[in-house]
Amino acid sequence: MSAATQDIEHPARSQHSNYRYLFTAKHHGGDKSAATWLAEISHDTEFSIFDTADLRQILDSRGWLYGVLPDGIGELLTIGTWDEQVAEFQPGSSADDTWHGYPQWALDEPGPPNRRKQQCCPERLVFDRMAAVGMISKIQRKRLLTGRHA
Amino acid sequence: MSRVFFPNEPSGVFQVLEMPDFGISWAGANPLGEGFCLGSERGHIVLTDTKGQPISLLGRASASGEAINGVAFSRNWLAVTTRKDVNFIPLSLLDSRHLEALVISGGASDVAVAPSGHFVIPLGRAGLMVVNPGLALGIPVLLGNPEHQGPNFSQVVTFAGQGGTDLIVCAGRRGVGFTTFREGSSSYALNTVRFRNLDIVAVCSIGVPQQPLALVAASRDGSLIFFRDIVHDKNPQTLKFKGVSGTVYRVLSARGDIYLLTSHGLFGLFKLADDFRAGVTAGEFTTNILRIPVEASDANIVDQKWLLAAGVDRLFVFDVQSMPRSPEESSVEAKPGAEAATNGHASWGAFTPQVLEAAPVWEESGLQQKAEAMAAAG
Repeated sequence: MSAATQDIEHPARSQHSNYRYLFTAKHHGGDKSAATWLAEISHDTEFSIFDTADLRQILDSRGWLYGVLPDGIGELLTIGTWDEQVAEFQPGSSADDTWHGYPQWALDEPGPPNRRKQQCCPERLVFDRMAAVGMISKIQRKRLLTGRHA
Repeated sequence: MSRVFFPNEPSGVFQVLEMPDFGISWAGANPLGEGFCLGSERGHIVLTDTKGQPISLLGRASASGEAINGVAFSRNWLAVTTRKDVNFIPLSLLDSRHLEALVISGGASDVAVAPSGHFVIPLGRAGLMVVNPGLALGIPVLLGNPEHQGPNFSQVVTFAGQGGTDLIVCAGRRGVGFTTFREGSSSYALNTVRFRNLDIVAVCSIGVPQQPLALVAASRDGSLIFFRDIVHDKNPQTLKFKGVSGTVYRVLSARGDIYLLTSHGLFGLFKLADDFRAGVTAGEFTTNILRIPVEASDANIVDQKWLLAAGVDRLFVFDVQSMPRSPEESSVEAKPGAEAATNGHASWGAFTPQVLEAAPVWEESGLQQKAEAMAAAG
């Protein structure tokens, strides 16, 4: 996949909250250090993960949204270049601003205690909510809670 | 496939220990003696006897309170890993209700003890951490992926290397990686082998004294890669059985058998490690496969006697030394309508493996070494 060089807004809005969504160049190969969507995840598929996350209200304590990509037979597909299976979506700075998303790493990055990183992997309640609405199984919830592939 | 019913019997091959309030996330060996160690979703650990009866509640062992995914013990230190932190707890504090640990911020997905006594901890794309648990905890050595390239270190096994070194082997998603560790070395080489279309998620030693570095790796889709010697065998045998399904979580070995825990259950592939080590060629043998439909998120072998599988709110315990290896050895026939403690009846099948043309590609690269005082009292 050639790296994206510009941000592109999806033509549709999310069903539940009428959110706008932006495919950012940063997370589509434009920044090698950033979390990156797999090339085979189309824009429509990426938006569908976001739309479902909004529809099911899979929120963390900050109000950020989270989604997964089921394969239709009970397993979760990989969505990121580092084997990520969970997508994190964050809002823009104002209510009508666009949201954007990226594959979220399963483990917190290591670092010294005086340089504690910002929260990285999703909060427990995210997986609790996914399991409660049937997006993931109880075993997949445990796998993701332990930072492992599901 | 023929079916067999495993009764839930404390003295039998299989038992279920209900744990409705614990939130089990990990199960393995009691690091301090006989029995089991269980980790919870809230970061607690408890030691039990082999019947699952608690003998010591160690309390919260993760500073972050996250789900435990690994526990190991070496030289008076307990290492406990979660997706958010790595905790080192001195033995002298194990009786405390609230454990005072040295905590490294940052997650890991496993922990193992090398023959030298060092802890080896895979950190995913960040690399590997090696820690010397002496009288005081040594400064962690981070063997990192340069610019986050290379394997996604997810699970480790260790062997005795040459000249007193530790041989560390990792499932790295993009392949299998290994390196030789000796404290104080100035550089480390990482050897990796990649396979076309295989996502390597688990590794397990199948070594015996005659073949000490024999190893099996498992792909997420259930393919198995057998190495006679992980260092020198450049053409490992890659097999896939139709009788195995689901996403692979763990590969284990005991008594010459292979076990695969997947999203579809626990699969016993009997005598497969024995057959491989004996040099039987793929296509010339069939393997008896027993599928036990347990729902479990992780599994470990304890003392080559027990296979523990952590379920949603129960612990499954299998006596792998008494496990039947064929339908003929199954003493209890299928009992339609009987209570099935394994969420269903187990089923037997005999399968000839498909040999995969996985085209192994070997590479050698450097690992960046960094020693940092990363731990803080937590």
